[in-house]
Amino acid sequence: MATADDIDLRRQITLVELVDRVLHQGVTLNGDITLAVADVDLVYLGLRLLLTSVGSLEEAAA
Amino acid sequence: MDDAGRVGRYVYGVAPVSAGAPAPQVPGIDPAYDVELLERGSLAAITSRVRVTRLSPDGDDERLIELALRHEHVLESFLAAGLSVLPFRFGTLCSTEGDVARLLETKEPALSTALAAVDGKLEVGVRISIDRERVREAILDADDDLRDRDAQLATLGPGAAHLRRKQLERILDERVTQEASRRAATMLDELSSGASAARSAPGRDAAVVESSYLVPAATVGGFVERARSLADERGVLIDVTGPWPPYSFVEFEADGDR
Repeated sequence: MATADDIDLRRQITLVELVDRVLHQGVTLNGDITLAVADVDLVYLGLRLLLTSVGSLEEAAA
Repeated sequence: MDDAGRVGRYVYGVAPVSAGAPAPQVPGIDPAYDVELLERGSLAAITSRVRVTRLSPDGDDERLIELALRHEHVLESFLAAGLSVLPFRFGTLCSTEGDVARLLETKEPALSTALAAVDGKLEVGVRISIDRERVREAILDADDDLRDRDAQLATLGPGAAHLRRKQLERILDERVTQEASRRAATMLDELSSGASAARSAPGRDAAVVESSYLVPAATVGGFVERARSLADERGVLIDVTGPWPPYSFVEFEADGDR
């Protein structure tokens, strides 16, 4: 039987997998056609914070 | 440069131009604008207008996740309509519609090749982790020698018991790690046979390994079920995610146009 904690953990894993793919994978373009998103460094910084907090959540659940 | 109020063109990915399924009606990453297809030759850019300032999460994780979900939702809507997509990474923004068209024209060969590699296929994520305590028990159950040594600890004086226990724990710890890698490798092998391609990386946190599989859309349901069924009673846990757009199987080199 899946407990509420299990379901929450699973949701967290899915979220990490999602953010990981959308932000880190896929076609990456450089150059004059595309604008750089001004806050791209902030995006990655934010992601690291997110992954860190999910990581500690998993350890707590283990 | 003042970006306030500026509207750009966000690009989610590229799809093949098809006379078949119509493009789904779906809100874009900026909910004020729906997604449109912009076609050039055999390629269609999946795109929408976006107020540029809306793309900045300002260090807010919740906001970032919402944006990532919107990006994902657009691509999933295309997959659900039976269309193939070559996903772009989050944050691909062009200034104008003309720039999106120019992007398709100048990158056509590389985009077509990358799209062909994932045409009709989806990605499934498989994350294998172990319950070390249960694997340890299974090893002790199966190994008379280790079990005897464990039992003998109770008969020793406290000093000797402490040293022997540390020694035994070190051996057991190593065995648990070996056993976990062995069983994970067997499972990954088994899954590979149902996939067109696979990528694996060492797991983060408690995971032993994290893999992505590129699977034909027609068989993805069976693949997911099979992956889930590989979890066992002896402490191997499997989390299956997806199907995703084939993010991890994009083979596209930005050709030094920095």
